[in-house]
Amino acid sequence: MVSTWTIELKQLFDVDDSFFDDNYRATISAYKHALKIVADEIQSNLQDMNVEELRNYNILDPFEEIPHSYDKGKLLTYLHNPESDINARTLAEYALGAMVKRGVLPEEAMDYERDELLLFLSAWQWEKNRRRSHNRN
Amino acid sequence: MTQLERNLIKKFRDKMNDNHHFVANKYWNIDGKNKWNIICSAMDWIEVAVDGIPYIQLANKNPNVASLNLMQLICALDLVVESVKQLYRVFEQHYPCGNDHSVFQDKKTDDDYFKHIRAMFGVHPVNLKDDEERYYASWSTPHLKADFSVIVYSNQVGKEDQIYSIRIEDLFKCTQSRYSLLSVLINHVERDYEAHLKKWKNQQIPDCLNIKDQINVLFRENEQRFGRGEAYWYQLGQLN
Repeated sequence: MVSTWTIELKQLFDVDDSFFDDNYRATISAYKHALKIVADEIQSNLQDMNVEELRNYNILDPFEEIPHSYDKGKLLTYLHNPESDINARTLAEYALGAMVKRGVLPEEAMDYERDELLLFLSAWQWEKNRRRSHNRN
Repeated sequence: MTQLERNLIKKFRDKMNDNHHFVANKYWNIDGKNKWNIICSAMDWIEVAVDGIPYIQLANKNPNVASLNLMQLICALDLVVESVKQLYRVFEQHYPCGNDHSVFQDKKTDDDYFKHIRAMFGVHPVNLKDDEERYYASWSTPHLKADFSVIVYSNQVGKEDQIYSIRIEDLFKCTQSRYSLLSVLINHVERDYEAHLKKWKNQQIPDCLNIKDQINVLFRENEQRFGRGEAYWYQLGQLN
């Protein structure tokens, strides 16, 4: 059973990091590295037949921290569905613009599309969550 | 009235559902047959019987009601025995009571004798047979011999009626010895799971050069080791 919000994260590893601005390249690289750590942790636990809570699970859905909204739904639906039609793309663009305007997402997100945008937003949100969690502690 | 200890069936059910649903994943498809369903049905009916038996009132002013209640008790006890036998069949374990004569001490085995009692005391009283002859039982009564008795009439002219009597204690003794076999099955399942863990711990998950291949491999390993929808199935779905 696969979540309807399946993020084709493994596809994001095909996106070239050099595509992104210097400001974000390190974050994106760190995010990809963190995803690899999750995969390695799963492998290690499966090898030991020891199913326990993953230490780095929160990386797998960085958008969980953003409150639910119509815009968020439209944007993520488009990003996670490769078969989306022109209507879905248009709605997603409007949604992205609205979220940037509200300050929920960064302006730089407007520069990217599809896989690059998904990777950018995932890494950006992940870094934000990480800092927030660090500040709480 | 004597009871069957409730904790045992609870412990059995917990073991069936434990270990990341190991039993369900192993038995849902054995050569095209869903044997997990048999396990579920047996567990359910054992629990129904164990829970309900204490509420069966054998002593009732109305002798017809008392007769029906006795039939209900015998059927409930028989359900427990049949369920245990089914579970032994599913888990492919040797059923140790197949040749037991210790309770009823009859030439029939205890299991066959129990079936005979069940037939006489309510399930097939109007259609009993023994080799060539046919028999018919009266309603059961507590006023003849032992705890309850029936009079059995032959279809042969001139043949004398016979009295068959039972002691409730014997019925419980027979059932209890089968019910307690659930402990053996609990241990069997636990050993089976430990062997499963050992086998897969020794099976090396291949390393992959890139994360995409790694995730595909992990999906397959997760399914083989723990089953679909178990362990890290959801998390791997998010990575996939």
